[in-house]
Amino acid sequence: MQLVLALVFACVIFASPLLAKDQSDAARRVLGSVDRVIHILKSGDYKDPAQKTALREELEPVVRDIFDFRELSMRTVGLSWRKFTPEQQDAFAEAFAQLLAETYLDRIQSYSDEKVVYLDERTNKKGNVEVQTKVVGDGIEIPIFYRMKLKDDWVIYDVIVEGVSLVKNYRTQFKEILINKTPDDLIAMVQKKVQKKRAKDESPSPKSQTESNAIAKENAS
Amino acid sequence: MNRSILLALSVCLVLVVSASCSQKRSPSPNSGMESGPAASAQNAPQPQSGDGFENDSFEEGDFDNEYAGRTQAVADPLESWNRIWFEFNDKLYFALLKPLTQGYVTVVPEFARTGVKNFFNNLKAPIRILSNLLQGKGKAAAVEASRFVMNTAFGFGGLMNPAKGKKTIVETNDEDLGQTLGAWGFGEGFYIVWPFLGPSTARDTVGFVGDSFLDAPTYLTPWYKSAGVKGYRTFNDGSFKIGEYEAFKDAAVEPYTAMRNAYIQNRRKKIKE
Repeated sequence: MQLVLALVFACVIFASPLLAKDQSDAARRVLGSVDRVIHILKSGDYKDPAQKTALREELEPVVRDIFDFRELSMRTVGLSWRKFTPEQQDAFAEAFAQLLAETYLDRIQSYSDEKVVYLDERTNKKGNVEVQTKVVGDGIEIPIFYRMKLKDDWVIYDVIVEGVSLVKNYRTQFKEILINKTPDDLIAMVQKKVQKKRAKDESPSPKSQTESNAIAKENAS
Repeated sequence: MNRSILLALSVCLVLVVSASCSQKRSPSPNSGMESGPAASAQNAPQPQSGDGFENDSFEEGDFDNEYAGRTQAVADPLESWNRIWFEFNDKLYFALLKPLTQGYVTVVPEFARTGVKNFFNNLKAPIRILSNLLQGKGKAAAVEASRFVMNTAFGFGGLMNPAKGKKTIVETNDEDLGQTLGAWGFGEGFYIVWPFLGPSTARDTVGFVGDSFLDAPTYLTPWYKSAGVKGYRTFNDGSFKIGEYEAFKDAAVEPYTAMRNAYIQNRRKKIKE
């Protein structure tokens, strides 16, 4: 009996560091933000197009707080960033921020029924942290990694979804565009994309994809 | 009948691959994409930091190198041809697949769709078992084999997936022959967009053809039954991802490039696993 107890005790001692890995400040911050976004989404009626704009206004500060859009812009544009005038850099960062916020909120919204699970994290030589999370739902499991950097606080500078880095993906696009086009053209393209997205959100289409998906889920359960 | 089609396809592929190999020597003018020296430089071994991390950086290269413009890109000599099929698949999705899927999702409850998905996924186990074996992943192969036996025997031919969550045989990464070839050191070759099938590379297409030999529905006759079953399988799988393509397109400034890059990044990650 004592032996059994001792064994159990030993197991607990040795297993506990594996079970409860301490989350870093970076991880706590990103998970906190995700929670806050989900909380806001659940509190409002996002399916009502009239409320959609209001909700976006509520959510945007949360997203802007954790994402460093200037850093993201710089990394996606790459070397050509130096060819941008300071004004162009500001305009681009703002337009890109809007596009990413739109996209991110859209994704989070469609995930709001699912669970976000913290998996692990790692730190590189420069002290940047990759927080590894997973979105789990019925029949889906999507690994989402956030790469973060310590500025005034921990901020996100890249998001990797199923192995696809957002920064790298946009960099190939922008690189191709900037071969033939000017920075101003690129800024205009990004702005146009945002406007198109917002127009789509505000025109009450009877069945948006996420809605019908949610309805189907309700029917299924 | 079906086999002869496959054979013809394989022959075509070999021709395409060899044609592209000769093409690859001459750098394409619009390429900001370095294949070859730059790419191999990226893969050069990183200095070990010895602090317990496999790699001192998150990626194959240091992020700052990458930021300096050294991105690994795939060759795309068929770009204008690929763009045609990209547009075709895009139109196909919005005109046909999306409305059909929306109808299907409303009519068929989720548990039934999950059953169909599990059934076909189980049927594909031979592909994963062989790919794991060929990559020397004995344990993963054994896991796949156990899952296959368990799901087939106790799960009504795979409908139920009773092996789900069993600790000793947790789901492994989806392996296929394209990844196997990649793990063996075969390069991607070049990017190609197939009608209906979507993005691929020369290597992954060869893998795909190889996979189909291990894929039970391939052996259904006549050929249209086989194609129908495979089409339905893809369609059913897609019903879980409704809306993803729209979201992807909404986010992309240059959708064709975005898709190409996303495909390549995702495949490279899978090969590394």
